[in-house]
Amino acid sequence: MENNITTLILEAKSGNTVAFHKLVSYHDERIMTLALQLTRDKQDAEDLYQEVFMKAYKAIGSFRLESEFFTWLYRITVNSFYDLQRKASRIQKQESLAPEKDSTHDIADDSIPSAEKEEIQHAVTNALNQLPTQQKTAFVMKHYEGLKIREIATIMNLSDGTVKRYLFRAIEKLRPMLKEYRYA
Amino acid sequence: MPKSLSDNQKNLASLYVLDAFTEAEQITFENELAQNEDLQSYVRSLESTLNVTSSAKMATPDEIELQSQRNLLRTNIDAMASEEVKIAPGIWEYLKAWIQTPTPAWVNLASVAAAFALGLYMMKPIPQQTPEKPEIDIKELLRSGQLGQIKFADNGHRDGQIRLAVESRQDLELSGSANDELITNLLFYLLLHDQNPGKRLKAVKLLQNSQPAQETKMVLVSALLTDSNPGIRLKSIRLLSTYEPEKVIQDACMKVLLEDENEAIRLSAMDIIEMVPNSSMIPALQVVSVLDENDFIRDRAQELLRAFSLDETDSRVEAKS
Repeated sequence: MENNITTLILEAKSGNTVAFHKLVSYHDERIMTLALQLTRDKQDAEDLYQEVFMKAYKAIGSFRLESEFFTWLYRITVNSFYDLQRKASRIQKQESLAPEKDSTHDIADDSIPSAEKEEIQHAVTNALNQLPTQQKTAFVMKHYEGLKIREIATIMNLSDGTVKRYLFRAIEKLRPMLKEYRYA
Repeated sequence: MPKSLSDNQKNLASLYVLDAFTEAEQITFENELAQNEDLQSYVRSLESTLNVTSSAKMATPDEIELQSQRNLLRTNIDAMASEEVKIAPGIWEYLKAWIQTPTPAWVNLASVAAAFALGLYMMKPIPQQTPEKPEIDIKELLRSGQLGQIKFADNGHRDGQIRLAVESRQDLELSGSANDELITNLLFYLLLHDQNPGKRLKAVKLLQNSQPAQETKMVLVSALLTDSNPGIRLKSIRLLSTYEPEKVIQDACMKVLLEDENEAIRLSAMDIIEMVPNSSMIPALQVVSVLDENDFIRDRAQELLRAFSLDETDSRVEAKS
C-alpha cells in the first residue's frame, strides 16, 4: 500500500490526473471527516473538501516525499479552514444579525433521542465555535481524529508544548460551556 | 470546582483525558490521581465534557456522498486544466522568447518615450458625454441572451447579500437577497448557462435561501435533467425535495431514477417518489427493482411495488364485501 501511494504520488507529480484522483479516493474520507468536524456544517465541509483537493492538485508538483501525504493534505485542510474562518469572521463583523446556520444535521450518535441530540449538537457546535481557531483545530484533531500530539504539531507547524497548551485551554473553556449537558 | 488544584495538575488532567500521555507519564499521573480526590473529581468533569462532545461528533460521510464530491472535483480539475491549455503553450513560449531577446538601446528609449506620451494622454480629463449612468435592462439582456460573464463578487456574499458582477455593454455590480427577483434571475441564468461548474454549484446553493417559487422549481428540474455535473444535479434534487412533489417533479424523478448514473441522485429521486406513490409509476419501478445497480435502490423499489400490490388486494377485498 505504502509503495503504491508513493508510486501514485510520483505519477501525480508528473501530471497524471488519473493517479491524482486515485490518491484523492484513498484519502478523501479522512479529509471530509476532518472538514466536517472543523466546520460543523455539511456545505462548508464540502466547499472545504473541494478547495483542499484543488490546492493539492495545483501544489502536488512541489510535494516532497519527506512527509506523509496525509499530513500534507491535513496541513492544506487546516490552512484552508483558517482562511475560511478569516472570511467568515469578516462577514460576521459586517452582518451581526445574520441568521444562524442550521448545523443540526448528521450527528453520529444514534443512542440519543433526536430533539435532545439536536440540542446537544447545537450546544457543542456553539461551544467549539467560541474557541479560538487554533485551539479548536488542535482539539478536533486530537479528540475527534485521534491524532498524536507530534502529528498535530507537524500539521499546525507548532511545537508539541504549544499544542498541549492549546488542548488544555480548549478543554478548560469547553468544560463550563457544556456543564449542563454533562450527564445527559 | 476544586480550587486546590494547580494549573499544572489541571493541564496534566486534560492531557490525561485526551489520551495524550506517554505510558510513563500516564503511570505517574495515575499514581497521583489515586491519592487526590479533588483531582479525581476534576478528571471526571473533564471526561464527561468529552463525552458530551463525542456524542455530537459529525457523522462520517458515506461513500455515495464522497463519490459525488469526487465527481465534482474531477469536473473542476478538468475545467481548470482546459483553461490552462487554452492559454498555456503558445503565448508563454512567445512571451519567453520575446523577453529573452536582447533589445538595442534605442528601442528601449523609444519605448520609454512612447509610454510617457501615452501616460500624458491618459491623464487628460475625458469629457463626460453622459452625466448619468445609462440604465441597463438586465431582464431584457437575460431574455435576449446578451449577457456576458456573471461572476460572484466578494466570494458571492457580503453583508448578508448576494453580490454579483455582471459584464455587458458596461460592467455592473449588483447585490441583493436571494429573494430579489433580479438576483434570482441571475442565479437561474448562472445555473442554466454558465460553463463553470463551480459557479453553477454556487448558484444552486444560493437558491436554497430563496422562497420556493414555481420558476425556481422549473429551473431546478431543468438543472436536474440536463446538468452534466452530478454535484449540481444532486443539489438540485435535494432542493426540489423541499417542494410539494407535484407531477412535474414526480416525472423528473422517474426519469432520473431510470437514467441517472449517480446513485446518490437516484436515491434522492426515490425519496421523493416514496412521498407520493401512484400506480403510473409501477412499470418504471418494476424496471428499477430488477435492473438498478444499487441493491438498496432495488430493495426500495421492490418495497414500493409490494405496497402497491397490498393496496390493490385491500381494494379488491373491499369491493367483494
